[in-house]
Amino acid sequence: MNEDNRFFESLSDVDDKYVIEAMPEIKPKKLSFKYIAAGICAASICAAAVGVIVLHNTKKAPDMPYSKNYHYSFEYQDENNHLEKIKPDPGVDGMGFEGFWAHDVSELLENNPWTKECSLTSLPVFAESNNEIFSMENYYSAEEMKDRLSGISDELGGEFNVTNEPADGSYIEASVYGARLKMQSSGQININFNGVLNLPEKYRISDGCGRENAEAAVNYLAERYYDVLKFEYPVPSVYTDYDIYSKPYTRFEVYDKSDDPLTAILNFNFRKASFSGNGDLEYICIYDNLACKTVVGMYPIIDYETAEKMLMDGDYTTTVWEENRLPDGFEADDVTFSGLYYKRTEDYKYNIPYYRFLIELQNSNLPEDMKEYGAFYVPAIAPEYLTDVNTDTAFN
Amino acid sequence: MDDNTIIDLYFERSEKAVKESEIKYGGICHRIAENILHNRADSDECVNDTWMSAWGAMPPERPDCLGAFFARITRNISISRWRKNSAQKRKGDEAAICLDELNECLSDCNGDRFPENYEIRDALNRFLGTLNEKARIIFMQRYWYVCTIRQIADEHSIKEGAVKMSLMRTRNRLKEFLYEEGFDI
Repeated sequence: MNEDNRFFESLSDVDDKYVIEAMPEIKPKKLSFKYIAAGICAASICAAAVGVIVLHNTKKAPDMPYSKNYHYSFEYQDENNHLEKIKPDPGVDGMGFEGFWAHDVSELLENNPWTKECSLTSLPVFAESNNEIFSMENYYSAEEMKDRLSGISDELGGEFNVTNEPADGSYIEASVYGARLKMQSSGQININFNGVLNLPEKYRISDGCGRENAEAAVNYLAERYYDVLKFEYPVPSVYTDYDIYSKPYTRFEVYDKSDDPLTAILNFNFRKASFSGNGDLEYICIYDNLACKTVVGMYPIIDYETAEKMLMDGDYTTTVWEENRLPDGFEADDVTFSGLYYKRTEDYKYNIPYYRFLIELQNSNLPEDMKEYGAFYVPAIAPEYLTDVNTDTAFN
Repeated sequence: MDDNTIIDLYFERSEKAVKESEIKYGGICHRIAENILHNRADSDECVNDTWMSAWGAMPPERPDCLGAFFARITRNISISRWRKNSAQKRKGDEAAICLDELNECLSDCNGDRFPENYEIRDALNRFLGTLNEKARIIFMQRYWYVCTIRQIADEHSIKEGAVKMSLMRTRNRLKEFLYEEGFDI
Protein backbone atom coordinates (compact mmCIF):
# COMPACT_ATOMS: atom_id res chain seq x y z
CA MET A 1 0.00 0.00 0.00
CA ASN A 2 1.33 3.46 -0.85
CA GLU A 3 2.48 4.99 2.47
CA ASP A 4 0.93 8.32 1.54
CA ASN A 5 -2.42 6.63 1.26
CA ARG A 6 -2.24 4.48 4.36
CA PHE A 7 -3.49 7.14 6.67
CA PHE A 8 -6.36 8.05 4.36
CA GLU A 9 -7.25 4.40 3.89
CA SER A 10 -6.87 3.47 7.57
CA LEU A 11 -9.59 5.99 8.34
CA SER A 12 -12.01 3.36 7.01
CA ASP A 13 -11.44 1.29 10.14
CA VAL A 14 -12.34 3.85 12.81
CA ASP A 15 -15.19 3.05 15.17
CA ASP A 16 -18.65 2.60 13.70
CA LYS A 17 -20.03 5.22 16.05
CA TYR A 18 -17.96 7.93 14.38
CA VAL A 19 -18.99 6.74 10.91
CA ILE A 20 -22.67 6.79 11.79
CA GLU A 21 -22.46 10.07 13.66
CA ALA A 22 -21.09 11.80 10.58
CA MET A 23 -23.21 10.05 7.94
CA PRO A 24 -24.43 12.83 5.63
CA GLU A 25 -28.12 13.34 5.09
CA ILE A 26 -29.09 12.09 1.64
CA LYS A 27 -31.79 14.44 0.40
CA PRO A 28 -34.31 13.04 -2.10
CA LYS A 29 -33.88 14.33 -5.63
CA LYS A 30 -36.55 16.69 -6.81
CA LEU A 31 -38.30 16.19 -10.13
CA SER A 32 -40.31 19.16 -11.21
CA PHE A 33 -43.73 18.67 -12.57
CA LYS A 34 -45.55 21.83 -13.44
CA TYR A 35 -48.26 22.11 -10.82
CA ILE A 36 -51.30 24.31 -11.00
CA ALA A 37 -54.01 24.44 -8.36
CA ALA A 38 -56.52 27.22 -8.91
CA GLY A 39 -53.65 29.57 -9.58
CA ILE A 40 -52.09 29.17 -6.16
CA CYS A 41 -48.61 27.85 -5.61
CA ALA A 42 -46.45 25.39 -7.45
CA ALA A 43 -45.84 21.97 -5.98
CA SER A 44 -42.88 19.78 -6.75
CA ILE A 45 -42.33 16.11 -6.83
CA CYS A 46 -39.79 14.81 -4.37
CA ALA A 47 -38.04 11.71 -5.50
CA ALA A 48 -35.55 9.47 -3.84
CA ALA A 49 -33.08 7.70 -6.06
CA VAL A 50 -33.32 3.96 -5.53
CA GLY A 51 -31.65 1.25 -7.56
CA VAL A 52 -32.57 -2.36 -7.87
CA ILE A 53 -29.69 -4.76 -8.09
CA VAL A 54 -29.85 -8.14 -9.77
CA LEU A 55 -27.53 -10.45 -7.88
CA HIS A 56 -26.46 -12.59 -10.79
CA ASN A 57 -25.73 -9.78 -13.19
CA THR A 58 -24.06 -6.54 -12.30
CA LYS A 59 -25.02 -3.96 -14.84
CA LYS A 60 -23.31 -0.76 -15.75
CA ALA A 61 -26.18 1.55 -14.97
CA PRO A 62 -26.84 4.37 -17.39
CA ASP A 63 -26.02 7.83 -16.13
CA MET A 64 -29.08 9.77 -17.26
CA PRO A 65 -31.12 11.26 -14.43
CA TYR A 66 -34.06 8.96 -15.00
CA SER A 67 -31.93 5.89 -14.87
CA LYS A 68 -32.85 5.46 -11.26
CA ASN A 69 -36.20 4.42 -9.90
CA TYR A 70 -37.82 7.58 -8.62
CA HIS A 71 -40.30 7.54 -5.85
CA TYR A 72 -42.87 10.17 -6.59
CA SER A 73 -44.48 12.17 -3.87
CA PHE A 74 -46.10 15.53 -3.94
CA GLU A 75 -45.66 18.54 -1.68
CA TYR A 76 -49.17 19.81 -1.63
CA GLN A 77 -49.16 23.53 -0.89
CA ASP A 78 -52.67 24.59 -1.73
CA GLU A 79 -53.66 26.33 1.50
CA ASN A 80 -57.30 26.44 0.52
CA ASN A 81 -57.19 22.72 -0.21
CA HIS A 82 -59.13 23.39 -3.34
CA LEU A 83 -59.69 20.50 -5.70
CA GLU A 84 -61.87 21.07 -8.73
CA LYS A 85 -64.69 18.61 -9.20
CA ILE A 86 -64.15 16.43 -12.20
CA LYS A 87 -66.59 15.06 -14.73
CA PRO A 88 -65.24 11.53 -14.91
CA ASP A 89 -66.69 10.08 -18.12
CA PRO A 90 -63.80 8.48 -19.95
CA GLY A 91 -63.20 9.57 -23.49
CA VAL A 92 -64.25 7.21 -26.25
CA ASP A 93 -61.73 6.58 -28.97
CA GLY A 94 -63.13 5.58 -32.31
CA MET A 95 -66.30 3.72 -33.05
CA GLY A 96 -67.76 0.69 -31.32
CA PHE A 97 -66.98 -0.34 -27.80
CA GLU A 98 -63.91 -1.32 -25.88
CA GLY A 99 -64.04 -5.07 -26.17
CA PHE A 100 -61.58 -7.89 -26.62
CA TRP A 101 -61.60 -11.41 -27.94
CA ALA A 102 -59.48 -14.01 -26.23
CA HIS A 103 -59.50 -17.70 -25.35
CA ASP A 104 -59.29 -16.73 -21.71
CA VAL A 105 -59.23 -13.42 -19.84
CA SER A 106 -55.72 -14.18 -18.60
CA GLU A 107 -54.42 -13.43 -22.11
CA LEU A 108 -55.60 -9.84 -21.69
CA LEU A 109 -53.88 -9.05 -18.38
CA GLU A 110 -50.87 -6.75 -18.78
CA ASN A 111 -49.05 -7.08 -15.47
CA ASN A 112 -50.56 -3.85 -14.16
CA PRO A 113 -48.81 -3.17 -10.85
CA TRP A 114 -51.98 -2.02 -9.03
CA THR A 115 -53.18 -4.81 -6.76
CA LYS A 116 -56.35 -5.16 -4.75
CA GLU A 117 -54.28 -4.64 -1.62
CA CYS A 118 -52.71 -1.36 -2.73
CA SER A 119 -52.78 1.06 0.18
CA LEU A 120 -52.44 4.40 -1.60
CA THR A 121 -55.17 6.84 -0.57
CA SER A 122 -54.63 9.54 -3.18
CA LEU A 123 -53.40 9.83 -6.73
CA PRO A 124 -52.45 12.70 -9.00
CA VAL A 125 -54.83 14.00 -11.61
CA PHE A 126 -53.16 15.43 -14.69
CA ALA A 127 -54.26 18.05 -17.13
CA GLU A 128 -54.83 16.56 -20.53
CA SER A 129 -51.99 17.80 -22.67
CA ASN A 130 -53.95 18.97 -25.68
CA ASN A 131 -56.42 20.97 -23.64
CA GLU A 132 -56.99 24.59 -24.56
CA ILE A 133 -56.55 25.82 -21.01
CA PHE A 134 -53.32 24.00 -20.26
CA SER A 135 -51.51 24.60 -23.47
CA MET A 136 -48.81 22.16 -24.41
CA GLU A 137 -45.34 23.59 -24.64
CA ASN A 138 -42.33 21.79 -25.96
CA TYR A 139 -41.02 19.97 -22.93
CA TYR A 140 -37.63 18.83 -24.17
CA SER A 141 -35.45 21.37 -25.92
CA ALA A 142 -33.77 20.64 -29.23
CA GLU A 143 -30.42 20.24 -27.47
CA GLU A 144 -31.86 17.80 -24.94
CA MET A 145 -33.46 15.77 -27.71
CA LYS A 146 -30.20 15.68 -29.65
CA ASP A 147 -28.35 14.57 -26.52
CA ARG A 148 -30.79 11.75 -25.95
CA LEU A 149 -30.71 10.58 -29.55
CA SER A 150 -26.95 10.89 -29.64
CA GLY A 151 -26.78 8.65 -26.58
CA ILE A 152 -29.00 6.11 -28.28
CA SER A 153 -26.79 6.26 -31.36
CA ASP A 154 -23.76 5.49 -29.21
CA GLU A 155 -25.55 2.50 -27.75
CA LEU A 156 -26.52 1.28 -31.22
CA GLY A 157 -22.89 1.63 -32.22
CA GLY A 158 -23.18 4.15 -35.00
CA GLU A 159 -22.46 7.74 -35.92
CA PHE A 160 -25.22 10.20 -35.08
CA ASN A 161 -26.51 12.52 -37.84
CA VAL A 162 -29.40 14.93 -37.47
CA THR A 163 -31.54 14.71 -40.58
CA ASN A 164 -34.46 16.96 -39.68
CA GLU A 165 -34.83 19.73 -37.09
CA PRO A 166 -37.99 21.83 -37.54
CA ALA A 167 -37.86 25.44 -36.39
CA ASP A 168 -40.72 24.97 -33.93
CA GLY A 169 -38.66 22.50 -31.93
CA SER A 170 -41.38 19.86 -31.93
CA TYR A 171 -39.11 16.97 -32.86
CA ILE A 172 -35.68 15.89 -34.02
CA GLU A 173 -35.02 13.22 -36.62
CA ALA A 174 -31.67 11.55 -36.93
CA SER A 175 -30.02 8.62 -38.54
CA VAL A 176 -27.50 6.14 -37.28
CA TYR A 177 -26.11 3.19 -39.21
CA GLY A 178 -28.89 0.64 -39.30
CA ALA A 179 -31.66 2.82 -37.85
CA ARG A 180 -33.70 6.00 -38.08
CA LEU A 181 -34.44 7.85 -34.87
CA LYS A 182 -37.07 10.38 -33.99
CA MET A 183 -37.70 12.11 -30.69
CA GLN A 184 -40.67 14.36 -30.05
CA SER A 185 -40.46 17.20 -27.59
CA SER A 186 -43.05 15.42 -25.45
CA GLY A 187 -40.53 12.66 -24.83
CA GLN A 188 -41.64 9.94 -27.22
CA ILE A 189 -38.82 8.25 -29.06
CA ASN A 190 -39.15 6.05 -32.15
CA ILE A 191 -36.36 3.80 -33.35
CA ASN A 192 -36.95 2.34 -36.78
CA PHE A 193 -34.43 -0.32 -37.72
CA ASN A 194 -33.87 -0.06 -41.44
CA GLY A 195 -35.21 -3.43 -42.43
CA VAL A 196 -35.30 -5.81 -39.50
CA LEU A 197 -33.00 -6.82 -36.70
CA ASN A 198 -32.74 -10.59 -36.56
CA LEU A 199 -33.58 -12.06 -33.18
CA PRO A 200 -32.67 -15.46 -31.72
CA GLU A 201 -35.36 -18.04 -32.45
CA LYS A 202 -36.60 -18.28 -28.86
CA TYR A 203 -36.95 -14.50 -28.55
CA ARG A 204 -38.81 -13.69 -31.74
CA ILE A 205 -41.66 -11.23 -31.27
CA SER A 206 -44.40 -13.18 -33.00
CA ASP A 207 -48.12 -12.63 -32.53
CA GLY A 208 -49.75 -15.41 -30.57
CA CYS A 209 -46.48 -16.87 -29.30
CA GLY A 210 -47.91 -17.26 -25.80
CA ARG A 211 -47.36 -15.26 -22.63
CA GLU A 212 -44.25 -17.13 -21.50
CA ASN A 213 -42.49 -16.68 -24.83
CA ALA A 214 -43.65 -13.08 -25.13
CA GLU A 215 -42.31 -12.18 -21.69
CA ALA A 216 -39.05 -13.95 -22.42
CA ALA A 217 -38.70 -11.96 -25.65
CA VAL A 218 -39.41 -8.69 -23.84
CA ASN A 219 -36.94 -9.53 -21.09
CA TYR A 220 -34.31 -10.30 -23.71
CA LEU A 221 -34.92 -7.05 -25.59
CA ALA A 222 -35.09 -4.98 -22.40
CA GLU A 223 -31.73 -6.42 -21.38
CA ARG A 224 -30.21 -5.93 -24.84
CA TYR A 225 -31.42 -2.34 -25.06
CA TYR A 226 -31.07 -1.50 -21.38
CA ASP A 227 -28.91 1.53 -22.05
CA VAL A 228 -31.30 2.74 -24.75
CA LEU A 229 -34.47 2.44 -22.70
CA LYS A 230 -32.88 3.72 -19.49
CA PHE A 231 -35.43 1.81 -17.40
CA GLU A 232 -33.79 0.81 -14.15
CA TYR A 233 -36.12 -2.09 -13.45
CA PRO A 234 -37.79 -3.14 -16.72
CA VAL A 235 -40.76 -5.48 -16.34
CA PRO A 236 -42.69 -7.06 -19.24
CA SER A 237 -46.24 -5.95 -19.94
CA VAL A 238 -47.63 -8.23 -22.63
CA TYR A 239 -51.11 -9.19 -23.73
CA THR A 240 -52.81 -10.83 -26.69
CA ASP A 241 -56.24 -10.33 -28.17
CA TYR A 242 -57.78 -11.60 -31.40
CA ASP A 243 -59.56 -10.11 -34.38
CA ILE A 244 -62.79 -11.35 -35.95
CA TYR A 245 -60.79 -13.95 -37.90
CA SER A 246 -59.26 -15.28 -34.66
CA LYS A 247 -55.91 -13.85 -35.68
CA PRO A 248 -53.85 -13.01 -32.59
CA TYR A 249 -52.24 -9.65 -31.93
CA THR A 250 -49.66 -9.54 -29.17
CA ARG A 251 -48.33 -6.37 -27.56
CA PHE A 252 -44.70 -6.63 -26.50
CA GLU A 253 -44.24 -3.87 -23.97
CA VAL A 254 -42.05 -3.11 -20.98
CA TYR A 255 -42.30 -0.54 -18.21
CA ASP A 256 -40.04 0.71 -15.45
CA LYS A 257 -41.37 -0.83 -12.26
CA SER A 258 -40.59 0.30 -8.74
CA ASP A 259 -41.20 -0.93 -5.22
CA ASP A 260 -43.01 2.36 -4.62
CA PRO A 261 -46.63 1.79 -5.70
CA LEU A 262 -47.18 5.37 -6.88
CA THR A 263 -44.07 5.31 -9.05
CA ALA A 264 -44.97 1.88 -10.39
CA ILE A 265 -48.51 2.82 -11.43
CA LEU A 266 -47.45 6.11 -13.00
CA ASN A 267 -44.68 4.40 -14.94
CA PHE A 268 -47.06 1.65 -16.08
CA ASN A 269 -49.47 4.22 -17.45
CA PHE A 270 -47.09 6.82 -18.83
CA ARG A 271 -43.55 5.46 -19.24
CA LYS A 272 -43.36 2.38 -21.39
CA ALA A 273 -41.52 0.99 -24.35
CA SER A 274 -42.89 -1.28 -27.02
CA PHE A 275 -41.14 -3.65 -29.37
CA SER A 276 -42.74 -4.51 -32.68
CA GLY A 277 -41.97 -6.47 -35.78
CA ASN A 278 -42.96 -9.62 -37.54
CA GLY A 279 -40.85 -12.06 -35.62
CA ASP A 280 -37.72 -9.97 -35.92
CA LEU A 281 -37.41 -6.49 -34.46
CA GLU A 282 -38.47 -3.56 -36.61
CA TYR A 283 -39.37 -0.81 -34.16
CA ILE A 284 -38.79 0.32 -30.64
CA CYS A 285 -41.03 3.04 -29.29
CA ILE A 286 -40.26 4.65 -25.95
CA TYR A 287 -43.08 6.61 -24.34
CA ASP A 288 -42.23 9.07 -21.63
CA ASN A 289 -45.46 10.97 -21.21
CA LEU A 290 -44.89 11.65 -17.55
CA ALA A 291 -42.22 14.30 -17.92
CA CYS A 292 -44.49 16.81 -19.61
CA LYS A 293 -47.59 16.19 -17.57
CA THR A 294 -49.13 19.01 -15.56
CA VAL A 295 -50.54 18.01 -12.18
CA VAL A 296 -53.80 19.68 -11.23
CA GLY A 297 -54.13 18.08 -7.83
CA MET A 298 -53.65 15.10 -5.59
CA TYR A 299 -57.12 13.57 -5.28
CA PRO A 300 -58.33 11.18 -2.59
CA ILE A 301 -59.28 7.82 -4.06
CA ILE A 302 -61.55 4.93 -3.15
CA ASP A 303 -60.08 1.55 -2.35
CA TYR A 304 -60.52 -1.62 -4.39
CA GLU A 305 -63.34 -3.01 -2.24
CA THR A 306 -65.36 0.16 -2.70
CA ALA A 307 -64.72 0.15 -6.43
CA GLU A 308 -65.77 -3.47 -6.73
CA LYS A 309 -68.98 -2.77 -4.80
CA MET A 310 -69.73 0.19 -7.04
CA LEU A 311 -69.23 -2.05 -10.06
CA MET A 312 -71.59 -4.70 -8.74
CA ASP A 313 -74.14 -1.97 -7.84
CA GLY A 314 -74.07 -0.71 -11.41
CA ASP A 315 -72.09 2.45 -10.73
CA TYR A 316 -69.65 2.02 -13.57
CA THR A 317 -68.89 3.53 -16.93
CA THR A 318 -68.61 1.43 -20.03
CA THR A 319 -68.81 1.70 -23.78
CA VAL A 320 -70.22 -1.82 -24.07
CA TRP A 321 -73.59 -1.80 -25.77
CA GLU A 322 -76.55 -2.86 -23.72
CA GLU A 323 -77.34 -5.80 -25.94
CA ASN A 324 -73.87 -7.23 -25.49
CA ARG A 325 -74.00 -7.26 -21.73
CA LEU A 326 -75.18 -10.38 -19.96
CA PRO A 327 -79.00 -10.18 -19.75
CA ASP A 328 -79.19 -10.93 -16.04
CA GLY A 329 -76.30 -8.68 -15.11
CA PHE A 330 -73.06 -10.19 -13.96
CA GLU A 331 -71.82 -12.07 -10.95
CA ALA A 332 -68.53 -11.65 -9.19
CA ASP A 333 -67.19 -14.71 -11.03
CA ASP A 334 -67.71 -12.95 -14.36
CA VAL A 335 -65.47 -10.09 -13.31
CA THR A 336 -61.71 -9.88 -13.62
CA PHE A 337 -59.89 -6.92 -12.15
CA SER A 338 -57.26 -5.82 -14.64
CA GLY A 339 -55.68 -2.94 -12.76
CA LEU A 340 -55.68 0.82 -12.44
CA TYR A 341 -55.53 2.81 -15.65
CA TYR A 342 -55.32 6.50 -16.46
CA LYS A 343 -57.64 7.71 -19.20
CA ARG A 344 -58.53 11.12 -20.47
CA THR A 345 -61.96 12.41 -19.59
CA GLU A 346 -64.54 12.96 -22.28
CA ASP A 347 -64.31 16.74 -21.97
CA TYR A 348 -60.59 16.51 -22.74
CA LYS A 349 -59.72 18.40 -19.58
CA TYR A 350 -58.11 15.75 -17.44
CA ASN A 351 -56.30 12.46 -17.31
CA ILE A 352 -57.63 10.58 -14.27
CA PRO A 353 -57.31 7.13 -12.71
CA TYR A 354 -59.95 4.40 -13.07
CA TYR A 355 -60.32 0.90 -11.73
CA ARG A 356 -60.68 -1.29 -14.81
CA PHE A 357 -62.58 -4.53 -14.89
CA LEU A 358 -62.94 -7.03 -17.71
CA ILE A 359 -66.33 -8.74 -17.83
CA GLU A 360 -67.33 -11.59 -20.11
CA LEU A 361 -70.03 -10.60 -22.59
CA GLN A 362 -72.60 -12.51 -24.57
CA ASN A 363 -71.93 -12.85 -28.27
CA SER A 364 -73.46 -15.61 -30.35
CA ASN A 365 -71.14 -14.93 -33.28
CA LEU A 366 -67.93 -15.98 -31.62
CA PRO A 367 -65.81 -18.86 -32.89
CA GLU A 368 -66.15 -21.91 -30.70
CA ASP A 369 -63.11 -21.44 -28.51
CA MET A 370 -63.26 -17.67 -28.23
CA LYS A 371 -64.77 -15.39 -25.59
CA GLU A 372 -65.53 -11.69 -25.64
CA TYR A 373 -64.75 -9.32 -22.80
CA GLY A 374 -65.74 -5.73 -22.28
CA ALA A 375 -63.97 -3.04 -20.29
CA PHE A 376 -65.87 -1.49 -17.41
CA TYR A 377 -64.50 1.45 -15.48
CA VAL A 378 -65.10 2.81 -12.00
CA PRO A 379 -63.49 6.21 -11.35
CA ALA A 380 -60.87 5.86 -8.65
CA ILE A 381 -61.38 9.43 -7.45
CA ALA A 382 -63.54 9.71 -4.33
CA PRO A 383 -67.16 10.54 -5.28
CA GLU A 384 -67.21 13.87 -3.45
CA TYR A 385 -64.73 15.16 -6.03
CA LEU A 386 -66.80 14.07 -9.01
CA THR A 387 -69.64 15.81 -10.79
CA ASP A 388 -72.16 15.00 -13.52
CA VAL A 389 -71.39 11.32 -13.42
CA ASN A 390 -72.84 9.60 -16.49
CA THR A 391 -72.61 5.86 -16.23
CA ASP A 392 -73.34 4.95 -19.81
CA THR A 393 -71.12 6.28 -22.54
CA ALA A 394 -71.91 3.50 -25.00
CA PHE A 395 -71.67 4.69 -28.56
CA ASN A 396 -75.03 4.69 -30.20
CA MET B 1 -36.93 -2.27 7.36
CA ASP B 2 -34.75 -2.51 10.46
CA ASP B 3 -31.15 -3.64 10.24
CA ASN B 4 -31.59 -6.97 12.01
CA THR B 5 -34.33 -7.96 9.58
CA ILE B 6 -32.10 -7.09 6.65
CA ILE B 7 -29.26 -9.14 8.13
CA ASP B 8 -31.68 -12.05 8.62
CA LEU B 9 -32.46 -11.88 4.90
CA TYR B 10 -28.76 -12.32 4.13
CA PHE B 11 -28.62 -15.30 6.46
CA GLU B 12 -31.67 -16.77 4.72
CA ARG B 13 -29.90 -16.14 1.36
CA SER B 14 -32.93 -14.19 0.20
CA GLU B 15 -32.45 -11.96 -2.85
CA LYS B 16 -34.61 -9.41 -1.05
CA ALA B 17 -31.57 -8.78 1.16
CA VAL B 18 -29.80 -6.80 -1.52
CA LYS B 19 -32.93 -4.95 -2.56
CA GLU B 20 -33.64 -3.86 1.00
CA SER B 21 -30.00 -2.90 1.51
CA GLU B 22 -30.14 -0.71 -1.56
CA ILE B 23 -33.36 0.92 -0.45
CA LYS B 24 -32.04 1.76 3.01
CA TYR B 25 -28.36 2.39 2.39
CA GLY B 26 -28.01 2.76 -1.35
CA GLY B 27 -28.16 6.53 -1.11
CA ILE B 28 -25.23 6.90 1.22
CA CYS B 29 -23.18 4.25 -0.57
CA HIS B 30 -23.71 5.96 -3.89
CA ARG B 31 -22.74 9.27 -2.30
CA ILE B 32 -19.49 7.87 -0.94
CA ALA B 33 -18.55 6.23 -4.22
CA GLU B 34 -19.40 9.30 -6.28
CA ASN B 35 -17.49 11.58 -3.93
CA ILE B 36 -14.38 9.50 -4.41
CA LEU B 37 -14.69 8.53 -8.04
CA HIS B 38 -16.67 11.36 -9.69
CA ASN B 39 -17.88 8.89 -12.25
CA ARG B 40 -21.43 7.55 -12.17
CA ALA B 41 -20.68 4.31 -13.96
CA ASP B 42 -17.70 3.46 -11.74
CA SER B 43 -19.66 4.48 -8.67
CA ASP B 44 -22.55 2.23 -9.57
CA GLU B 45 -20.17 -0.67 -10.09
CA CYS B 46 -18.58 -0.04 -6.71
CA VAL B 47 -21.96 -0.02 -5.01
CA ASN B 48 -22.90 -3.22 -6.83
CA ASP B 49 -19.62 -4.71 -5.61
CA THR B 50 -20.56 -3.60 -2.11
CA TRP B 51 -23.69 -5.74 -2.20
CA MET B 52 -21.68 -8.62 -3.60
CA SER B 53 -19.16 -8.31 -0.76
CA ALA B 54 -21.93 -8.08 1.79
CA TRP B 55 -23.56 -11.18 0.32
CA GLY B 56 -20.26 -13.01 0.72
CA ALA B 57 -19.64 -11.72 4.25
CA MET B 58 -23.08 -12.43 5.76
CA PRO B 59 -23.18 -15.09 7.05
CA PRO B 60 -21.13 -15.67 9.10
CA GLU B 61 -20.56 -12.01 9.89
CA ARG B 62 -23.34 -10.20 11.71
CA PRO B 63 -22.40 -6.51 11.83
CA ASP B 64 -23.32 -4.49 14.89
CA CYS B 65 -23.92 -1.46 12.70
CA LEU B 66 -25.12 -2.25 9.22
CA GLY B 67 -24.91 1.29 7.87
CA ALA B 68 -21.28 1.65 8.87
CA PHE B 69 -20.59 -1.86 7.54
CA PHE B 70 -21.88 -1.02 4.07
CA ALA B 71 -20.35 2.46 4.07
CA ARG B 72 -16.96 1.05 4.97
CA ILE B 73 -17.06 -1.58 2.22
CA THR B 74 -18.05 1.04 -0.34
CA ARG B 75 -15.31 3.40 0.81
CA ASN B 76 -12.65 0.72 0.57
CA ILE B 77 -13.79 -0.53 -2.83
CA SER B 78 -14.03 3.03 -4.14
CA ILE B 79 -10.55 3.93 -2.91
CA SER B 80 -9.14 0.82 -4.60
CA ARG B 81 -10.84 1.79 -7.83
CA TRP B 82 -9.65 5.36 -7.44
CA ARG B 83 -6.05 4.20 -6.98
CA LYS B 84 -6.29 2.18 -10.17
CA ASN B 85 -7.91 5.01 -12.10
CA SER B 86 -5.79 7.93 -11.12
CA ALA B 87 -2.11 7.89 -11.81
CA GLN B 88 -2.05 11.55 -11.16
CA LYS B 89 -4.26 14.10 -9.56
CA ARG B 90 -6.92 15.44 -11.85
CA LYS B 91 -8.74 18.69 -11.48
CA GLY B 92 -11.71 18.14 -9.22
CA ASP B 93 -10.33 14.87 -7.87
CA GLU B 94 -11.73 15.28 -4.39
CA ALA B 95 -10.07 12.16 -3.00
CA ALA B 96 -6.65 13.42 -4.09
CA ILE B 97 -7.32 16.81 -2.55
CA CYS B 98 -8.34 15.18 0.73
CA LEU B 99 -5.20 13.10 0.64
CA ASP B 100 -3.02 16.17 0.19
CA GLU B 101 -4.77 17.94 3.06
CA LEU B 102 -4.29 14.97 5.38
CA ASN B 103 -0.67 14.56 4.38
CA GLU B 104 -0.01 18.03 5.75
CA CYS B 105 -0.47 16.48 9.19
CA LEU B 106 2.11 13.81 8.66
CA SER B 107 5.29 15.56 7.63
CA ASP B 108 6.74 16.42 11.02
CA CYS B 109 6.24 13.17 12.85
CA ASN B 110 9.32 11.97 14.71
CA GLY B 111 8.94 8.26 15.07
CA ASP B 112 11.49 5.81 13.80
CA ARG B 113 9.23 3.07 12.55
CA PHE B 114 6.19 2.84 10.39
CA PRO B 115 3.15 2.00 12.48
CA GLU B 116 0.91 -0.98 11.83
CA ASN B 117 -2.51 -0.34 10.38
CA TYR B 118 -4.20 -1.23 13.66
CA GLU B 119 -2.02 1.31 15.46
CA ILE B 120 -3.10 4.01 13.02
CA ARG B 121 -6.72 2.98 13.52
CA ASP B 122 -6.43 3.04 17.30
CA ALA B 123 -4.68 6.41 17.24
CA LEU B 124 -7.36 7.86 15.01
CA ASN B 125 -10.06 6.56 17.33
CA ARG B 126 -8.34 8.19 20.28
CA PHE B 127 -7.91 11.41 18.38
CA LEU B 128 -11.52 11.54 17.24
CA GLY B 129 -12.59 11.03 20.85
CA THR B 130 -10.78 14.25 21.82
CA LEU B 131 -12.74 16.41 19.38
CA ASN B 132 -16.03 18.16 19.97
CA GLU B 133 -18.91 16.66 18.08
CA LYS B 134 -19.21 19.26 15.36
CA ALA B 135 -15.50 19.34 14.55
CA ARG B 136 -15.42 15.55 14.49
CA ILE B 137 -18.40 15.31 12.16
CA ILE B 138 -16.95 17.87 9.77
CA PHE B 139 -13.60 16.06 9.82
CA MET B 140 -15.22 12.67 9.14
CA GLN B 141 -17.44 14.04 6.40
CA ARG B 142 -14.42 15.52 4.70
CA TYR B 143 -11.93 12.68 5.03
CA TRP B 144 -14.07 9.61 5.54
CA TYR B 145 -17.03 10.44 3.29
CA VAL B 146 -14.88 12.65 0.97
CA CYS B 147 -17.61 15.27 0.86
CA THR B 148 -16.79 18.57 -0.80
CA ILE B 149 -16.48 21.71 1.29
CA ARG B 150 -19.70 22.90 -0.30
CA GLN B 151 -21.61 19.75 0.62
CA ILE B 152 -20.45 20.01 4.23
CA ALA B 153 -21.34 23.69 4.41
CA ASP B 154 -24.83 23.00 3.05
CA GLU B 155 -25.35 20.10 5.44
CA HIS B 156 -24.55 22.24 8.46
CA SER B 157 -25.98 25.48 7.10
CA ILE B 158 -22.66 27.26 7.59
CA LYS B 159 -20.35 29.07 5.23
CA GLU B 160 -17.63 27.29 3.31
CA GLY B 161 -15.05 29.44 5.08
CA ALA B 162 -16.22 28.11 8.42
CA VAL B 163 -15.82 24.55 7.17
CA LYS B 164 -12.30 25.24 5.95
CA MET B 165 -11.40 26.87 9.25
CA SER B 166 -12.73 23.92 11.24
CA LEU B 167 -10.81 21.45 9.08
CA MET B 168 -7.59 23.42 9.33
CA ARG B 169 -7.79 23.56 13.10
CA THR B 170 -8.59 19.86 13.32
CA ARG B 171 -5.69 18.96 11.03
CA ASN B 172 -3.35 21.04 13.18
CA ARG B 173 -4.58 19.23 16.27
CA LEU B 174 -4.11 15.90 14.51
CA LYS B 175 -0.55 16.88 13.61
CA GLU B 176 0.24 17.69 17.25
CA PHE B 177 -1.49 14.51 18.41
CA LEU B 178 0.49 12.27 16.06
CA TYR B 179 3.74 14.00 17.03
CA GLU B 180 3.05 13.44 20.70
CA GLU B 181 2.11 9.82 20.02
CA GLY B 182 5.44 9.31 18.29
CA PHE B 183 4.10 8.35 14.90
CA ASP B 184 6.15 8.34 11.75
CA ILE B 185 3.71 8.05 8.81
